[in-house]
Amino acid sequence: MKKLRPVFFAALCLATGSAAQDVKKEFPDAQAVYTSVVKEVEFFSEKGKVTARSKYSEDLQLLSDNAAKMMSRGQVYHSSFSALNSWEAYGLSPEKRKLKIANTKTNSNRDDYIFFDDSKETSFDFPGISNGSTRHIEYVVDHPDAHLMSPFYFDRYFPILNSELRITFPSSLRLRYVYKGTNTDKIQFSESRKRDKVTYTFKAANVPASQNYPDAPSSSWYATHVVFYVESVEENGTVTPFLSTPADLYKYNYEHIRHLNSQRDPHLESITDSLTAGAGSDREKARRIYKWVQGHIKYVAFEDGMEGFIPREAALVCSRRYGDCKDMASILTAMLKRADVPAYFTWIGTRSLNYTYAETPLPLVDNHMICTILLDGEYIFLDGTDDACIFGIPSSHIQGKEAMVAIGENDFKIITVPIPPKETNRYTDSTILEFSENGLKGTLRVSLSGYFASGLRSTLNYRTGKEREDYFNNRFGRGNNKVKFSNWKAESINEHTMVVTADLVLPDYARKINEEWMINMNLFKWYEGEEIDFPKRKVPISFDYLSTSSYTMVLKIPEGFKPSYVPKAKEYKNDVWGFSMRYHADKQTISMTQEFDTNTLLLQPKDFEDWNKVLEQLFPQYKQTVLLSK
Amino acid sequence: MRILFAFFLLLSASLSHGQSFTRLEWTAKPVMIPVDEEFAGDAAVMVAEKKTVEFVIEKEGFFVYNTVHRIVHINNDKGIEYFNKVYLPYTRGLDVVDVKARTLLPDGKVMVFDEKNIKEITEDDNVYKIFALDGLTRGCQIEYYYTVKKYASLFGREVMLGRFSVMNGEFQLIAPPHLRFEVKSFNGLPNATEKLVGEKRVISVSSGKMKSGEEEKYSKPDANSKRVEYKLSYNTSNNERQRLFTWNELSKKVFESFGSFNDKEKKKLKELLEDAGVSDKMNTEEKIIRIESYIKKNFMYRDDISDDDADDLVGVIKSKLCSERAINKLFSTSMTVAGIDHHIVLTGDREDFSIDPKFENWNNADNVLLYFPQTNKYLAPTASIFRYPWIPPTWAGGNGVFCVTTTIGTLTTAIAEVKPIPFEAYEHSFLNMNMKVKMDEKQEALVIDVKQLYGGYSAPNYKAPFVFYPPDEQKNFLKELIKFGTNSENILTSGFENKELDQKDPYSPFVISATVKSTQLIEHAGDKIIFKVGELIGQQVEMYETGERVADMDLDYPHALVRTIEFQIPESYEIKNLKDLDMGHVYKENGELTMGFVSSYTLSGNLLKILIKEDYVRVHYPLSQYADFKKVINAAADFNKVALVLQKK
Repeated sequence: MKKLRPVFFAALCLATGSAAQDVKKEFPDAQAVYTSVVKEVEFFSEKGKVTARSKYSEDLQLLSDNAAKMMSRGQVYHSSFSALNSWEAYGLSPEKRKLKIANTKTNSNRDDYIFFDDSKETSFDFPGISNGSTRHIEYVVDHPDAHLMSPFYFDRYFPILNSELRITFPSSLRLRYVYKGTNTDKIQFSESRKRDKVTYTFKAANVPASQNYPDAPSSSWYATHVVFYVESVEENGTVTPFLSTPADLYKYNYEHIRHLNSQRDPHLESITDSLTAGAGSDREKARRIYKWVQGHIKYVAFEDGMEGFIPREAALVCSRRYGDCKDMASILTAMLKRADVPAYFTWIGTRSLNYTYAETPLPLVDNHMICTILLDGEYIFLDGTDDACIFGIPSSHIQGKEAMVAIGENDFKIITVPIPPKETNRYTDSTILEFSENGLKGTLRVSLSGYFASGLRSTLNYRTGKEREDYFNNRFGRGNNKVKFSNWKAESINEHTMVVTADLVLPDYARKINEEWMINMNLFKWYEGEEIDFPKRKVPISFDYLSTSSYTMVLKIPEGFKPSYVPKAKEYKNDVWGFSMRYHADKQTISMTQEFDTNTLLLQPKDFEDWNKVLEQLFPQYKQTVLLSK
Repeated sequence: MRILFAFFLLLSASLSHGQSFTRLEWTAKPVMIPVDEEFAGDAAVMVAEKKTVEFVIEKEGFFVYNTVHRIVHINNDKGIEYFNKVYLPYTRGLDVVDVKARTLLPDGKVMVFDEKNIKEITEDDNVYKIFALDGLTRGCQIEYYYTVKKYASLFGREVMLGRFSVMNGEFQLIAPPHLRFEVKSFNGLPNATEKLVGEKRVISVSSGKMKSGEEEKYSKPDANSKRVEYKLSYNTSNNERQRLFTWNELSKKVFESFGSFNDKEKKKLKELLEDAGVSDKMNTEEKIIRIESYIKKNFMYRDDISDDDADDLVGVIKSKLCSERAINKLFSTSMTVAGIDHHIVLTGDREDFSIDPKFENWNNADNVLLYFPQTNKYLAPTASIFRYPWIPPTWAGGNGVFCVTTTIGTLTTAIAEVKPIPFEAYEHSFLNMNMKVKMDEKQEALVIDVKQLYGGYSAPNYKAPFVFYPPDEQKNFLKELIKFGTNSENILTSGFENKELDQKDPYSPFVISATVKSTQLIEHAGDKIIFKVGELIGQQVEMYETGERVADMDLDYPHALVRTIEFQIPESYEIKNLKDLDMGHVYKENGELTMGFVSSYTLSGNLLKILIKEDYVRVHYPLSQYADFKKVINAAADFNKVALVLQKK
């Protein structure tokens, strides 16, 4: 052993020596670079219980004055499921002088939408660091439950020279890993064995900085990462599955609901009974119960330790009138069961997660809970957290996702939630205008169906009076900013459709020069400035739902005038999307309709060029102006 | 100002302790209070709100108990969402004395909140108790109160009207009789009344009904908020006549806190000046600029760092990381060591709270400036993107407390002079644009040479992204700026002048120039071409609204906007509607311009020259000038819609 040491030392020196040059060479524009990010995870198995410990360390070299200022505070995150065991941090001046940290604090680390949880952030200052300094952070966290391990991400806000994940586990455990993300070809895997311990090593070098776009899906859809988990445990010759199949996960999950809602609650039962009285079918009963929960139980989430996994009793949720997703699933299930509608607790990952139960049967796959019901052989997904969701249509953030439906203690189903087709989500906007003394005036009518309707309903639930009017003015504005609306009305035609109407005056839009009127019929130019940053952007674009939209303007031709120039119709479609623009003129009116479809929930980088091609065809159309002459 | 905390403790130690604080008791059974018709459409209404501040001297020290008691009627779901979660801030180590909450449902049922459900979180160093209220439905009435115990601060303010209307509001300050507090009402709240109740002095303000308003453009809602402010003015057990906590006293304390340094610190400060390259050959202004540039480049100030670090400048100079007090002290002492005469000036912020010469609320003296009598200009130590003589503009335009140093014998101290902090001359602050526009041969695009010039108070916010953002984001920001007016991201070339925050001549403008190809400013109607010339000045703020206005008009700083457009009309075309370019609304007082918008043009041959001038000479325009102000603002917004029609000759 002793002999090895100098060699090792020399190698280390070489490595750091070349690293300093690599930083500038590899990433000339970077404000800072991680020279090294290492995570070592070790799994332990004792009497059937599997735990783990992670040791993490990072070195961030700062390459500008700004970065030195911006990164002068470091953070370590932890919670009851990854408990902070020990940590250390320090700065290194450009001359490699060690700089102590200061002002250490531990604060709550809350997500905006969760009212309370137990995750914490320990933060500290790196005094004296400057351009050329390095900040070093390392810490050890204990994972009391190996079901709840986080994946390892190779992408960061700053580029990384060397990134490494090392997982060590006793040979009695079987470990599985899965690569996710766009740059998995950069990952190099190796395996080693020492006595009865196995080590998997995953390395990546020269990882570019992550790209951040507001319209991107969450990073699990594209960032390069490794998901790893214990598949089975061997003890005394017997192999016990740990998380080898969705059934193992179901067994783990089921413990969280096993004892739930076993007591009857007269208050909840009487509400349920009065709601369902006279309902002619299970469907009608379910519809009424869902609507009541949507309207009466507000979303407030407390996630302290196991509270993050175990739903609360339906009776408590009912009297409190608030709860998180699990609590809403609990009250829905209890009420529906009371009404004899088959109803099941259901785990699901929202669209912010990119995992499936078959590939990674882990708690990581889901982050949400809903209630599934079975009506006439059809599964319907009821999400209590969406206060305007239309009965029968899944909430938009679970479209296309796998649901783990709890049928019984040993019985579950994995069902893929349907994606409503674009025809379900229609947006039809028409404006009818004529000339008046104050410019154009007329009426508008917008018909919204599917997610368009539920989205609007949800918004209107929280707006009345002037606020509602301001919302309408903004959302349905058109022409220019001098447009004035009056008589806003929003009406539900049926559960699926809403119609919004108003009167409007639009001054200074039509232009009259020398006894000729010029009117650009494109009251909306939605896609102006929507070119995708191609080929630079490598990150997909997420859309809320599939849809079809049309915008029509009809103009009454004033007495004594006739159309002297009407632009030509244009249609352009490729494999990604497209548009159509049609003009129509007769003696009384001239009209134009724009039509667009959204055909995908996730637009991948390979489609960006085609997306932009459509815009190239579209923009000249925006500039076409109608001429009315005497 | 946090630096003053130690002095409060001194004061409290000198007092003997006496009464205990009066706990709030609510009625045994809540009663549904009817809501006035005019509030029926609001999400929620404060049927009653009472804020009590009680000062109590106890064995352990001098404390204040802040109690808030609210009865809120919930009208709709938005009201529920707003009130079903409660956050109570309190001081670590002290306590939330009481928290009680109950909900009265429309059917008369009462749900009482169980204190066990309170959770605790820490955020940005503040500790909060948080809880959710049970059972909320439309039409219910919630009632809650809490009392938080804090170390006494002898200054304070309570805003009495926030986002929800109040049907019945009350403020009460309770103190031992020998401590005479003064309470001042702002923005239309009735004046305070004072009486002795038993052994306590009680000062009250009853607001009556207050309707919450919409935020208006060009207004300062915080500064206009209905509020009370209070301060301790006399301690009659010591001296009935001696006014406490005067501006003079503050001035003295500030001087002691910022002005003094020991020999070790002096040595380090000298080294710092050397590092910065300050030499005796420089004149005062050059020295000021050099020192500011050096400290702002090398030191970082953060307001979450404890002010105690200022007691050790040697440590601060080493760590380069400092608190608000430390950076102010570092600036002041560096100037002193460099032999530069200066006064420390304390100022408020026109955004929210300002210095009142007669009512010395030290809490309003929130911001620190240095004033240099020799040059008659200012420097803001904590404003990292501003450079002498430019300071955050909302810190100017109101009163400042000038700590003027005087030496009596061997003792140097400072006395206060309260006077306005003037702006730099208005014409130095501008957002100007010069554009030369040509149509390409196919008549489908415009080639625009554009220069954007940012001067004075305008410049720092435009420069900062080019200093602090990573390269990619800088490019995006540049694109956004150039797109404003040209409507194009197709930038052929671009460049900067005076991009750095530090400038030899602080009056030199920041210039962005670019050549841009834009297709969106022209439209086609048969063989006619529509040139949307108005869009070249960019989308403008509009005040097309017709409703009644409540607040005066307030701007951040006086400024001018000058835009010039030169357009080469293509040979075979002519423009018949040039007179659409003539617009103007100019207002003067006593022959001097106060505000205006004027656009005009000249045509020589095929060269069309347009000049658009917009001026706001003042920062404050009274409500009586609303109609005129609107005309000026809307003239710019109207110009933005002007289009020229080119037709074949």
